[in-house]
Amino acid sequence: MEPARWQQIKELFEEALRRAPQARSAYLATACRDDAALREEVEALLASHEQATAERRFESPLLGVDAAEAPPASAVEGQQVGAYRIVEALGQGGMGAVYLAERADKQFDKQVAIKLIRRGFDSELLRRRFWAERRILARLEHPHIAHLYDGGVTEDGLPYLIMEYVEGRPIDEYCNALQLSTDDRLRLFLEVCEAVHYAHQNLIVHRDLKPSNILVTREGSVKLLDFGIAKLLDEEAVPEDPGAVPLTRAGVQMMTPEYAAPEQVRPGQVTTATDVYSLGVILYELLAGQRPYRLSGRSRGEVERIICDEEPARPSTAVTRPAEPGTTRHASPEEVGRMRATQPSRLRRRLAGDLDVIVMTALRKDPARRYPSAQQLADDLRRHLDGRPVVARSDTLSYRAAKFIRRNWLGVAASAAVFVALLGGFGVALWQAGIARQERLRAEQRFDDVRHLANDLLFDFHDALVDLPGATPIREMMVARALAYLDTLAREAHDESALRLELAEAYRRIAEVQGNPANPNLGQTDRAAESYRKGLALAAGVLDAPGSPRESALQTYALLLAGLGEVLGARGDLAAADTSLRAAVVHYRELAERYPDDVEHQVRYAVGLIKLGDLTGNPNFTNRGDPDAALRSYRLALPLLERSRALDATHARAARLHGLIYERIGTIHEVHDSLDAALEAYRRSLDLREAFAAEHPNHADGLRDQAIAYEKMADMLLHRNAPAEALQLYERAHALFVALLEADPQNANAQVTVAISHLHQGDVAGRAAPAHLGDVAAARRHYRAALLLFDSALATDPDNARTARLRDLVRGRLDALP
Amino acid sequence: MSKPPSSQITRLLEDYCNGRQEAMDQLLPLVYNQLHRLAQQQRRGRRGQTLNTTALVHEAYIKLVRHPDPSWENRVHFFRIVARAMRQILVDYAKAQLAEKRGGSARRLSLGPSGDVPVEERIRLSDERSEEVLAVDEALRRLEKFDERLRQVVELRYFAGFTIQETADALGISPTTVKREWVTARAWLRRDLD
Repeated sequence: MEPARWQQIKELFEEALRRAPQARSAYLATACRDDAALREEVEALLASHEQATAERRFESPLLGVDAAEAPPASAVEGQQVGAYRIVEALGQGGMGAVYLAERADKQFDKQVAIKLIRRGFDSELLRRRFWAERRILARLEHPHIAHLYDGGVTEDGLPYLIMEYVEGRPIDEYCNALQLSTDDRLRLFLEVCEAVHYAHQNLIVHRDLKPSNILVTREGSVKLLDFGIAKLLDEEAVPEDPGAVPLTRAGVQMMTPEYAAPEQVRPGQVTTATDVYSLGVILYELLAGQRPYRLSGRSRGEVERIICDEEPARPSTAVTRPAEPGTTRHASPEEVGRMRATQPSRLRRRLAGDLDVIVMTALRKDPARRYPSAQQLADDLRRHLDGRPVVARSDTLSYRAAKFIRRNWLGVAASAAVFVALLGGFGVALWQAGIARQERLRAEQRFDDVRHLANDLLFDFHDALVDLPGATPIREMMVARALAYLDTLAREAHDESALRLELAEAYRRIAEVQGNPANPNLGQTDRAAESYRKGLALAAGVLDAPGSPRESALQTYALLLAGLGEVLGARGDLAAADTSLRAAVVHYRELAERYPDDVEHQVRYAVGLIKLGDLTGNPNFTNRGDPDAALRSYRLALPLLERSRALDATHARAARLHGLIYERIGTIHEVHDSLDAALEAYRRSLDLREAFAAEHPNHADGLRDQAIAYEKMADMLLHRNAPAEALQLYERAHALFVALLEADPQNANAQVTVAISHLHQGDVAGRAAPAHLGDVAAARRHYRAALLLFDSALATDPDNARTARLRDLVRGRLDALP
Repeated sequence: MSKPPSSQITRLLEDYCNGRQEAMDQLLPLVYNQLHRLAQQQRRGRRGQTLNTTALVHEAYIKLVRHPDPSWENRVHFFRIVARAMRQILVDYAKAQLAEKRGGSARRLSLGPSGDVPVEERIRLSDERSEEVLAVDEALRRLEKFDERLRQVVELRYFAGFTIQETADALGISPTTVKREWVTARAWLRRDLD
């Protein structure tokens, strides 16, 4: 035959086959026009096709060389099965053939798929089970599950199932053909989880989930096929029947090993967790373009060992893995990326973190450690899509440790040794990251590990500890470790905005703990300033980069500037502090105005203004002597805080700051000698702070705020010539400060506050206050106590100008005593 | 029989990939022998089961090439060579089967490049199957003259027992195309055999 002629015949033949059998003749009549010979050839070929299908000809002799099974005589086009007539073969499966069929009586214009099982029932038990299961399956009604309509036994004794006919493509093919992004793939996969969960609620396990059983229709909707069918036909699940013919483990062999869970390849209980595992494999493949294991061509023993004992590479690692021998599937990282409309490196970053952890949780060997249900898997994916923290990641050591501390904070000091050991292990991971440059893939994985770790340390861990009195030494150690990691990472983070920003933020956290006077801190102002500057250098690079995440970059940059300003101010470099804080406020304002309904941005702007006010003219801080400017800043902050509380009544920080701003305003009134206005402001502050402390009894800062409010009121009472009442309030404040210091004895800030409280009491007792009691001995006692505490605070933080100034003041008062 | 050095195989494969058709003729006996030996082992190990061709091919490849990271190109070509070799093996078996039936005297037959194959260690084909194997082999000689790809599809699917997916991988085309080609090939074969 001429190749050209043959191509013509072939095309027409294939085109005709796409049409319904009754429409083919008409089609050929038109297509062949007056070439009768051509039409004859194609018609003959069509007839041969039907014969070949009916006779099941040309199956490879290698398949079933010994079985010599008779093909089911009924599986012929045009033959009737139940109420349906077979139209054509759709495909061959492990258990039998699937045919497209339509109602024989043409009562409905309905097409169905008929699955004819190759093998008859080998026992009465199996037959009964088939019927029972069929009834259960028929009850499954879900938009994403192909419905099972009916089932029965042909005249030849072969079981068959009649199912909804789904026209679609396997989910993996569909995703690749449409070059779906990772997010779109996840959303599609959520539909799969939904359907699987529905079946599980009906106590039906699929047992053979794989892409070819998950079709996506032209409308883009998912349909799961063959639910529960594997079990229906798995004689292994049937109790031993002595009369039955011994059977091979055909059911298991038919399973695609790539998607089989450990409990399926080694004897174990098949449960809903088995489907969760298969879902994990499918998700892995959809995301990374590779399966977790390369099983093709391996012996059964090897397959079993790999599935049960080998830990697969994370999807983010697999995605950059070149093709290896031992697989007939080949997709280079570039191809995988292209099918997701992205580059391999981007895809890797997209998968690293949440998605790695989610997939690996679904793939755990031990069924009990996987997601307990398909729904929980779906929930975590949804959380990830929404940018919320995923549950699977909380299963990390640091997270659990942080939770432990939260629950057992009194015993925290005793646990310090545990943390040292824990962190030591992380150090090894980092060291490996350092030396493994040659092994790039491994190094990248390590890099991510260390990055997650540093983040966990700083965010989960540290945040769990920050409000707990007594946690300072552990925080210091944690911070030192994290800093070591970060310095290493920062050297390697050249061109990745998100990472640089993450690092900048991490330096800020560290600086806060090291020496920011606004927090419980370690009193290391020099180191704090250095950390802030490192963070600023990183964040500035991100701000300048085109296409960078501007909102988060701006925010981190502003927070760093503000922090640096505070530390500089505490060290007495007021001009530099002022510059830094003003720059911070400009950035805060941009964010607050751009996002007027975002409480956090409003609060941050307010905080920036408060800090600026403190620096420009608040006598309680080292300041630049401009109280009017300070009052202007405070007054700008007040409506921002009121607005924040209106936006979110439960916002603790806004509530706390609301009390604080009145205290600040009162202070300036006091400077201006507007004592009535000051008293009024202090009273409002005290009300707000008492309410806050009552609501948050474990909040160290809330307690300190309350104590400060007592002191402010006491100051006013002194001016009104009521020293006895004033002293009472000072004593209440003192009790609170001492409790805070006792809970966290290393906290330099807490030492200074107790010292100041002694100073106040000494003043009232002695003669330094506007109204006093003239008790020189008591005054001396208080001043000496204050002096001891100031000296102690200065021992850990010798550069703190404010502490030094206060110490000198107390010395002067002592000397002035008679 | 001494094993062929793997470097020789690799070189032949590379030659074949580079378009030197004669390399196929030199490769075929090597692959044939290896496949044959492996098939026997596999069958001795698990009586009463179908041959796992993928495992067979993989094993043959590892044994023959022994290269830790052969190129994908090489592997794809190797699949085609395997299919060719499997075709030869099955044809030899089928001939032996039918000859034995007719002649009855020949207990040991000289078969192809592998030499003597004891009957009891052969793949047992029914007479009908044996006839079909020889007929398909004949038909492919005609088919390759006007549709080379159909020939390849039949070789992989029928003689090597590859699945649709494996065939698609070996030929570098989509499974859908393989499915379509296979349906056409079957129809053509059925008509040709009439």
